[in-house]
Amino acid sequence: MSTVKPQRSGLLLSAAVLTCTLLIITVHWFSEPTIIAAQQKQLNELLDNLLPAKSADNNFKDNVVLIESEALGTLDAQRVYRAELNGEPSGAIITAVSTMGYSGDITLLIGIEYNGTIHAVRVLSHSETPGLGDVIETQKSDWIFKFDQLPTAALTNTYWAVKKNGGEFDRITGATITSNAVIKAVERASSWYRLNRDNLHGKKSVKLNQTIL
Amino acid sequence: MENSTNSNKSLLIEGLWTQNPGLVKLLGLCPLLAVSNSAVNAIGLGIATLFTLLVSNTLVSVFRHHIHTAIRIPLYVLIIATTVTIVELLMRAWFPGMFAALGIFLPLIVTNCLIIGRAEAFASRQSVKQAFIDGLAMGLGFFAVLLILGSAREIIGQGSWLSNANLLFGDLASTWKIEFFDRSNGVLLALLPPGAFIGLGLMLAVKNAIDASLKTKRDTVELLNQRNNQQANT
Repeated sequence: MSTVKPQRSGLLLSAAVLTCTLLIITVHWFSEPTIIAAQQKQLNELLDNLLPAKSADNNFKDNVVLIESEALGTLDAQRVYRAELNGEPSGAIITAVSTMGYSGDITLLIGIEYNGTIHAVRVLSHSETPGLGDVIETQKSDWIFKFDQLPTAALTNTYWAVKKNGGEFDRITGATITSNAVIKAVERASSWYRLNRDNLHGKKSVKLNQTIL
Repeated sequence: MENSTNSNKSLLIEGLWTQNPGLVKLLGLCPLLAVSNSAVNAIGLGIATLFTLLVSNTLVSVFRHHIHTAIRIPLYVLIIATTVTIVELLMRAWFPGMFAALGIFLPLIVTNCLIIGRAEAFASRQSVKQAFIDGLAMGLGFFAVLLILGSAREIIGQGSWLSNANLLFGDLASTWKIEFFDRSNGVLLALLPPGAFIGLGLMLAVKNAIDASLKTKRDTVELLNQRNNQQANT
């Protein structure tokens, strides 16, 4: 055993690497469609709840523009889904990122009506502390529902903070940073929408072939 | 451990109790501590680890005559990494919610020293059948510790058991959740990392206490037997 030639070891290793690679490629090949379908399903379920029922008669899930703006958190392009009713713009779902969380980015989906009233906000992904910051998820608490029906056009700047910092939002116990990060991201995205909505709804939609999850 | 006469029963006892990876060997503690914050997460990681251990132990044993010492470590890592990647892909496709919940700890199974430890110390010198049973036993032992710790932390920390079971077992399981008390009355410490360390420490203490009391009982019986024999002789 100990007198094996190095060439043989090399060959053996290469053969093993090749076999393993082929194996993974095979599994990837047959699981990929299911993975994409699962992600799309998750995203669709989220998108369905972000605008009022019957407020859109266009296929807004495919009516997407990519926006690069600091108001949406990063300089990476973020997706904005545009809803229309009878040919008139009726609202949008904005993907926004907050980099101000406790750990890593918090990606939000913000459903906003054309008049600036928020319909709902949901967290798409985050890595906040389990048991503390993760109560921004709907499964963990109903904190995120505080944004529902918020008429942003009528709010002043001081509204957008937790009560401890002089604002109007209840904070999540033990997660002030997470609460503020979400609040600020929603504030920036909603005011960006109110400033840019007409321009936004006039843009040409892009064709997407990948999900963002 | 190196003799090949290990019976299946003794292998199972070793994995579940006397050589338990979580409580005796203290292997793979990083994922054990990190993911045991709810029963369902624990079950998900437990199953994934068990499966990886079974496959890697079996494969290492099958090829044990072809794997010579110089290249054994890269080959073990290759086998383990391939298995984990496949588990990850399958989980993303069919259990996306579970995949999201386990996060980074699913790919990190590759670095679980329990798996490479069993490949090196056991599977590389034993028959395929023995290696398979050892993988099963060690995996079940790890799974059991995860499940107990995860259940305890979830019950103490958020007053429920088996919440989000639908992520793993489908929509039918969403009614499995048992509420003991309201989430806001939970002891947050149990959910946080210190709670994991304290919980594991208590489990170790209980196991050692049971072992000690078993030993005392055995010693007493032996002593009595000896005395009886002496009396019979005189």
